[in-house]
Amino acid sequence: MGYVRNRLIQAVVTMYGVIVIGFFTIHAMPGGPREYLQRQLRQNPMQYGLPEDATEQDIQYYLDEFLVVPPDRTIYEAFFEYMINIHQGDFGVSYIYSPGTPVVELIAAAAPWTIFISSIAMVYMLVATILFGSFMAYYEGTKFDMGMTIGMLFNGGIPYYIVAIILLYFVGYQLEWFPTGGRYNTEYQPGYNLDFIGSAFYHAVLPSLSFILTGFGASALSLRAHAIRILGEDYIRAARIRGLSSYKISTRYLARNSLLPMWTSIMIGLSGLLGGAVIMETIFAYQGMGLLMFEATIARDFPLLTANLVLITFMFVLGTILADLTYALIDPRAEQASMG
Amino acid sequence: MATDESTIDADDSTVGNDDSPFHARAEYDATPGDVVLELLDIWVFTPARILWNDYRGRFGIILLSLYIAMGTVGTIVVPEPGIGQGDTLMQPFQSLEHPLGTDGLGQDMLGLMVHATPNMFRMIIAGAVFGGVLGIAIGLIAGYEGGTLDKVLMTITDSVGSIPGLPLLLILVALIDPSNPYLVGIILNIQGWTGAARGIRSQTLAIRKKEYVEVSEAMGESKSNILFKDALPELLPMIIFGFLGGATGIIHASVGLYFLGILPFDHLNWGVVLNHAYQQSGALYSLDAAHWLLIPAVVITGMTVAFVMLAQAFDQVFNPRVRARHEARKRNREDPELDDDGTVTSEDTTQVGIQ
Repeated sequence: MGYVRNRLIQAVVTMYGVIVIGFFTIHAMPGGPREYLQRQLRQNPMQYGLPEDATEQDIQYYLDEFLVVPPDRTIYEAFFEYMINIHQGDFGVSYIYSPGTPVVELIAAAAPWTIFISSIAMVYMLVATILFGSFMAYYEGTKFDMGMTIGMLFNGGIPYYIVAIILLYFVGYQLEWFPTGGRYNTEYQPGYNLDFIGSAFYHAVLPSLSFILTGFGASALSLRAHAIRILGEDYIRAARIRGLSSYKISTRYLARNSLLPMWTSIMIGLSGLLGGAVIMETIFAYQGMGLLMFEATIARDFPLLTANLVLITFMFVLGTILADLTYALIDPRAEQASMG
Repeated sequence: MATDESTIDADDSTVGNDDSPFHARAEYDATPGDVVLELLDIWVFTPARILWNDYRGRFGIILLSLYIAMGTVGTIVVPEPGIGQGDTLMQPFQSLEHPLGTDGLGQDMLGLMVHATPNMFRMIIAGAVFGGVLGIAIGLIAGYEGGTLDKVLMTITDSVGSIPGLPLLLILVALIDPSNPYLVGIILNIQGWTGAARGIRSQTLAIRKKEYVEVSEAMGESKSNILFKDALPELLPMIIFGFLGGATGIIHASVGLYFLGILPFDHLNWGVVLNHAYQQSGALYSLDAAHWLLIPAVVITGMTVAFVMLAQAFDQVFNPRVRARHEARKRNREDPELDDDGTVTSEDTTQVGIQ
């Protein structure tokens, strides 16, 4: 069990490392929540319920009244208090984004939407990876393979946000086929009713499509490379001699075996669902984890930002551990190599 | 060892005897020029020829040269863009003065694209070199030294590697607020060395066991000599793949962060153009603004695709088996003796997921 023990120790070191680095870098960021709110108040006092010609005194009063001011203390005291609190599940309250609300509540409200979009995208990307990768390998060297390889290279080379912007512009604004932002139609009551669920899926189309259309190129090519290696194996020849259809050979015999090396990357991709969608969510004004993180950064909402970073890292570390530990389950050959 | 002794004996006893099989003499002495030419042939001409013969390599080289021309000659030929150069939202391919049209602020699109290129290259070079050098150094040391140092270095590497990328960049960019393109490049590739370090460490572990490294050790070569002269050339493929992969990553990240408006707008960048097009009220509603979004999109995609294609083609340079198979296929005959090796070394670490 030496391997498992080392792996767990390393995960714990990583988590504490991220908390320490995250806490200090975030608190070292120039400006603070107070400066941000002050700037906002000067620019647009009406939004905060102040008269348009708000004096400096009004603004100061508002700041003192409504900003959840962290008590005056050194950063080290703050750090130790923070460390004690997070071990009790208390990540503090938001300063600006939603003053006074526990950040865990804010994250819990945003996370499901990000997971929703990303998991739709993951499923379709996996299907596309397997289909394209195994067919390309099966027809290796033909015109089909060459054309598809170029297509996959383009697919892997285009940043997803480019596709997102173009989709938003043409399909969203010009053709008006899909909504251009938001998570669901606000006319409907959130809950288990058909209107709301339908509207949530409808709003999820463009965001997830921008991931799907750009997400499978690189992995399909890597699957193709693994699959070509497998194609030389005897059991594929035997299957051909038995007269099985190409479809059956490429999906049943080829894809399953060539998926083995991809297991780790799939698990890591799953655990990364929470973290990566900052740009997409900003483009589609989709209130998920990414947009929450982005807004927290802009507003210097330190507790919200730190909690976001810590939770995303936690999921990621958990995912990589699970990937490493479960790999032996799906490929027993690995057990002798890594754990024995 | 019998042969060794006889060699020495032969050398000692038969000086000047041209008949000795152990005393073959070169017909002529290699001049420094010949040596340089040969080295150039091994390290530059042959790889370049192989790249050029591969369709992806040729495509990548042509495309990348286009961007290099854009970043060097282009900046001299095309005037620097400024607000109010022409009417707003002029359509592309209509006038010679503004061949790609103008944006919503009346800036020449061609100028915006061209003058953003040099900084993009600065970011790529700084970031990729930073990632490469740190990755090589840590990977070599960890793999060669082993023991506790290896464990400590690898724990650090894995820890840095498992911090989520974009959130980390958001915080770092807000913290440092960089405007120097070299610094921006380094920040954008701040995690790039972790993958390289892991890969190079495992390769170094394998190389360490090879005979010629043992011989060098026995001969009392210094550690840095062994690492740089014996181990490093073997690692060249991995370093180049790391560099090209880093380049794509830096392009994606920089344009993304400029689009979000987090990086300071001191310099022109394609992401800044996208940001203006996205932010300007009404631009998304009007069909006239299509080129404002599409031109930067095409330019960004072209550059990343060039790097991706080059990376694919480099596989042929370093993987003679793959090359032989392709040659065989070109001549329309299958050679079943050549075994199917993995063709896409660079893609082995790809992850399915969202960046």
